[in-house]
Amino acid sequence: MWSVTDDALLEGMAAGDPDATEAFVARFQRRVFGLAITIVGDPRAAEDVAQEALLRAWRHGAAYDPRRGSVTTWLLAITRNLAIDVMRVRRPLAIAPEELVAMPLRTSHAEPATLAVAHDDAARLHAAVADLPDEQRRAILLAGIGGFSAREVAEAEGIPLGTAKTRIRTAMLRLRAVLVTPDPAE
Amino acid sequence: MTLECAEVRERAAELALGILDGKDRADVLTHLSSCPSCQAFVEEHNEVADLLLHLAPEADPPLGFQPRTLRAFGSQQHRGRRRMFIAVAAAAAAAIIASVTAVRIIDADRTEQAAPALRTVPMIGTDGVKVGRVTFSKSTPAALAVSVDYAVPDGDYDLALVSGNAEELIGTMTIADGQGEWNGAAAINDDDAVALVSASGARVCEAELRS
Repeated sequence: MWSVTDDALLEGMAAGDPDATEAFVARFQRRVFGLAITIVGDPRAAEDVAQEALLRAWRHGAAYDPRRGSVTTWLLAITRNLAIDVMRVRRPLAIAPEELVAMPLRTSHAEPATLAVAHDDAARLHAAVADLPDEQRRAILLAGIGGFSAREVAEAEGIPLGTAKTRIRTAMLRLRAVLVTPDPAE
Repeated sequence: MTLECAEVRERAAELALGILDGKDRADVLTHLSSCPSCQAFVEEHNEVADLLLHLAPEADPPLGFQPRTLRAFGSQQHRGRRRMFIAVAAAAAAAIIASVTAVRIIDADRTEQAAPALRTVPMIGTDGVKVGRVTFSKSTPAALAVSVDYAVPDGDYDLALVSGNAEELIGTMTIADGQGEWNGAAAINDDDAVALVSASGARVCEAELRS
């Protein structure tokens, strides 16, 4: 089952195949739970988020459009949106900003070989994030993974709102520039 | 307010990261609906935002997570038939949103045809978060299907029809494991709302029944 592509697994799950469903959950549970707990900080809340994200993937798998991104990207986006909703309602549970910006970023070598292109981009982005000036790296991690609004980034960092917005915007432009520049290794 | 391209592009990063709220977000989406150039600019930011999520570390979920999740799928399957009526209108709502924003769809419903006599409106919690939905018919009295599936604490709630300052009790709903459903009928007017009211009398979420 592990040699089956993510797309095929999702398709099988959407069609009601119990083996595909079980394999899908087994394959993605660490990614989904990892992102959820990174954002909400609390294991119980993270479990609720992860379960709901997988439930939505199961329920709406037929609506997934591979042209819009990989299954992983789709599923992580669902997870992030759910986690941010929870965080906004149950703010005291949210992970501390210092903890979030200090987390070790995931490297892409552990992904299955079926997503080679996504690996390359994720690996380049990983390097590009590490190369950002510290204040921009912190801002983009808080906003991009933690779901902090610009105002919340400003509060967490003790900086004016305009400065937080500039840091987020500049970091995104730098990362985008890296991704649209052809990879010299290709 | 009509934004210029430069103003939209200043906000593109926050939009792509999903942290642009309220009027700012609405203004940007309005501009994007008629500006392919800015749409392409935002789309490039979307790709970065999506990839950022890949950098979050993996973590082992608690013991028993997988079987609990698979059991939850099973219980949803049993409830699927009752949910179908709600899903029909929800799909139409999702399709409308998709055509307006034209930016990206993360979590769309299936694309069944909407039944013309039904309307679905979001149930919004006190923090502005969508916690469920209400589907209602245009008949008199109206058939109502109230579904809450997110962020409302477990417990028993009154279901109230809100007309101006008046509240009329139309039923009760139990939220268990974060989910609750109620089906019934009530005479409704265009500006009415349906609210979930806690034991302390606080409205925890509300849906405006606009047809």
